Amino acid sequence: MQGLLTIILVLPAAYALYFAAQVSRHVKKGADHLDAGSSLTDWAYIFAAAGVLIAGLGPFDHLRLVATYGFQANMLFLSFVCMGLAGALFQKRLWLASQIMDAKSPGEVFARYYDSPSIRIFMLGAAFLFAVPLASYLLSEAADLLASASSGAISRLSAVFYIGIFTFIFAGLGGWRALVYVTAALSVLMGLLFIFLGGLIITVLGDVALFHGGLKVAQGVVADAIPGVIQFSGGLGRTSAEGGLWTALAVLSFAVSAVGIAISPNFSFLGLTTKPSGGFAFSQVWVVAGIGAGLLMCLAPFIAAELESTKPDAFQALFTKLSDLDGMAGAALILMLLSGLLLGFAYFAISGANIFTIEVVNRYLLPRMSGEAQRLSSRIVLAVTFVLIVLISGFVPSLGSSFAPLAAGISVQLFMAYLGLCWMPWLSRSAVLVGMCFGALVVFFTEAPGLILFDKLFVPLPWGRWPLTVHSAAWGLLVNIFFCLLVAIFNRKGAERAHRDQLHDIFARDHKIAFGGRAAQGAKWSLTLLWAFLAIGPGAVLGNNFFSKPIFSDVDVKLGIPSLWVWGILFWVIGVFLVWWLAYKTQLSVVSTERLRLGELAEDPRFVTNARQPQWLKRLVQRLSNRPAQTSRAR
Amino acid sequence: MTDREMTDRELKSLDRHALVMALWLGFAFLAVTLLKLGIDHANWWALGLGFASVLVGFIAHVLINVVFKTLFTPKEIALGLFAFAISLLWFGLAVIFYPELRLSLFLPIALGFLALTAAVIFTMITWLGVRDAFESFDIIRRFGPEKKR
Repeated sequence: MQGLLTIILVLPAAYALYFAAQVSRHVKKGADHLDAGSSLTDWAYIFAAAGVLIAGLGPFDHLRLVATYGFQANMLFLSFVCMGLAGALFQKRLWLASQIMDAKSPGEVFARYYDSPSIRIFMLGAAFLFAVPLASYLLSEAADLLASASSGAISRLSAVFYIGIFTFIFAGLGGWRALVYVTAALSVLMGLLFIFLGGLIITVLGDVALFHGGLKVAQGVVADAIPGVIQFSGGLGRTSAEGGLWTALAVLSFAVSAVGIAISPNFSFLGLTTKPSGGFAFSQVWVVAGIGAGLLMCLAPFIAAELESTKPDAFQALFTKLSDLDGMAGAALILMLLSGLLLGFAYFAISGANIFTIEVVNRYLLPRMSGEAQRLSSRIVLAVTFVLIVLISGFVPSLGSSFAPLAAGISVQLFMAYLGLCWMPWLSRSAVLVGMCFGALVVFFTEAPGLILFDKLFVPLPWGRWPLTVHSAAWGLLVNIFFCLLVAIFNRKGAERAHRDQLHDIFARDHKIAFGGRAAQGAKWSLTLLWAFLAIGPGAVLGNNFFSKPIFSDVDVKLGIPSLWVWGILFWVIGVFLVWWLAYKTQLSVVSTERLRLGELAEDPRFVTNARQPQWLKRLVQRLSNRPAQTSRAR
Repeated sequence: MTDREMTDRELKSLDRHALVMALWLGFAFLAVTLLKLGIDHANWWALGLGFASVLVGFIAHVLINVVFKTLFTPKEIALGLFAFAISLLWFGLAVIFYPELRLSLFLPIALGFLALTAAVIFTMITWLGVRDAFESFDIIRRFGPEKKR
C-alpha cells in the first residue's frame, strides 16, 4: 500500500511543481507573483472557488459530523447555498469597487472606502486566522491521515515537514497563479473522487450500510431528525444538548459562519485577482450552490454510514474495506480527503501571506519596491508563514485546532462592512467598526480560546462553546448588527457620507441592478428569507416528519429514507433556483465592463490618503536600514 | 530576470494548458482506478465507466479547444497516440498470452477502444472535415516526393 500511496501523492505533487515551473518561466513581472496580474481567468476562479469553500468548511470534518450526528448534520450542507447567496450579494460589487478605486486587495478596498486603517487591521487579523491557525489545523489533519494510511511508515511529524517544505517551494516558485491552478486541479480531483467513492459504496461494496443499520451515530443522538428549534443548553463543554447538537438554530447559525468563509479576505482576494466575464455567477449558482451542495447532500450519508464515528480514526474501517476490495479504491479515498485538506491548507496559507505582503510590506514598510523586490518580499513573508504553520502543526496541533474555528466567526463580522460598501452607504465607519469589535469579542468568548483564557485567568464563565446551540459566529453577528445600527442612527450623514456616496453614485450610474419593480424587489428578498426560514431556520423542523407523516392525514408513508433528507434535497433544489434568480436574472453577479472606468476614484485625495506610509514607520525603517552602514563606518 | 509583462498569447496558452492538465489529472486517475477495478474483478460496469471517464475527459478537452479557439497541440497528440498505442499493445498481448483469463473481458475492452477511436474520428471529421481528416493520416503523400504545382 505504501508504494501505491507514494505514487498517488507524487502525481498531484508533480502537477504542482510542473505548473510552478511553467508559471515562473512565463511570468516575468515580479509584482505578478503576488496577484497574477489580476488576470486569472474564469475557469480557474470557478473550480478554485468551489474547492476553497468546500475545504474551508472541511469535507473531512463534515463526513465525521454526519457519521456522528446523522441527518441533522447533513442539513449543514445547505450552507453552500448560503455561501452562493453571499457571493451573489457581494462579490461583483467588491470587484467593481476594487477596479474603480484601483485597489489590489480586499483590505485596501475597505480601508479606502471607509477611510480607516483600523478596518485594514481587522481584515489582516481575519486573514491571519485563516492563514495560520486554520491552515495549521488542515495541515495537521492531512499529516494524521497520511501517517494513519501508511501504517506509520510516514510519521506524522515528517509528513508535516515534507508537505510544508514542498508547498513552500512550489508557492515560492510559481506564486499566486500557480497556486490557483493547483487549487483548481485539486478541486476537480476531489469532486470526481467524491462521486466515484459515493458510487462505489452504493454499488460495489455489497450491503449499503446506510440502508442496512443506518448511520452509526453517537449515543443519545436522533439520527434522522433535527432535535428542536433551540435547546437551552449551556453550550459545548457545559451541558450537552438532548438528541444532538444540530438544532434548527444551530444549523442556521452554522450557515452564518459558513458565510464568513465566503466573505473572508482570503477568499475575496481570489475574486479580486480574477478577470471575470461570467465566472462569478457560474461559480456561485452551478458549482458552489449546485454541484457542491448537491453532491455532499446526496452522497455524504452513504460515505458517512461506513465510518466509525466513535473511534478517533473514523476513516480506518472504510479505508480497510476499500483496500480489501482494491488497493486503488483505498488510495482514492485517501487522495480525495488529502486533496480537500491540502488545497485548503495551501490556499489559506499563501493567500494570507500575499495579502500581508501587499497590505503591510508593500504599503507601509517598503513602498515603491520594484517588481523583483516585491517577489522577494513575498517569498520572505511566505517563509515566515510556513515556519509558523509547520511549528504549530508539528508541535502544538491543539493551538491550531482551538484557534481555527475563530477564523470564520471573526470573518463574518465583516458582514456589515460588506453591506456598507456594496449596498448601504449610510453605514458609517464608526458604526461598522464598533459593530465589528463587539462582534469579534463575543465570538472570542463563545469559542474555546476565550473560554479557556477566561476560565484560567478569572472565574469560569457560565456558558460554554456555542451556548443555546447557537454558533459563536451568529452570536457575534447579532451583537455586531445591534451596535452597528445603534451607532449608524447618530452619524448617517456628514462629510464622511459624501465621501462614501461617491462610490455608490458610480454604482447607481454605471452598474445598476435589475431588481425590477417594488413587488419584484419585495418578492426576491422575502422569498430568500422564506427559503432560509424553511431550509436552515426554525422551519426546518417541519422536515422531520413532513414526508413520512404528512399533515392533515393519519397515514404513515414508507419512504425508505428519512423525511429530513428529502426535505434537505428539496430545499437544495429550491436554493439553487434562488441563487440563479439573484445571480443571473437580477444580475447581481453578472459583470459587465462596458461602462467600467478603471481607477475612476483612484486619484481622489480622500481615497488615497489612507495609502500613505506613516512617518514613524518610515523613520523606523530608515533607521534600521542605515544601521549597518553606520556601524561599518564607525569601525 | 527582466520585469516584463506576459503577453496575452503566452497567458492564454498557459491558461489552456493548466485547464487541460487539471481536467486530465482527475479523469485519468478515475479512469485508471475504474479500469483496474474492472479488470481485477471482471466487472463490465467498472470497465465501461473507466472508458467513459476517458471519453468524458476527451470531450472536455475538445470543449476547451472550442472555447480557447485552438487545436490539439503536437505534444498532446503525441502523448495521446502513445498512450493509446501502449494500451492497444497491452490488450493485444494479453489476448494472445492469457486468452483464458482475459476472454471474459475481451468484448468490453474492445468496445471501449472502439468507442474511443470513433470519438476521435468523429471529432476530426467535425473539426477538420472529411478530406483534411483523411489527409492527417495520409503518410504516403506527406513523406512522398513534392508535388509539382
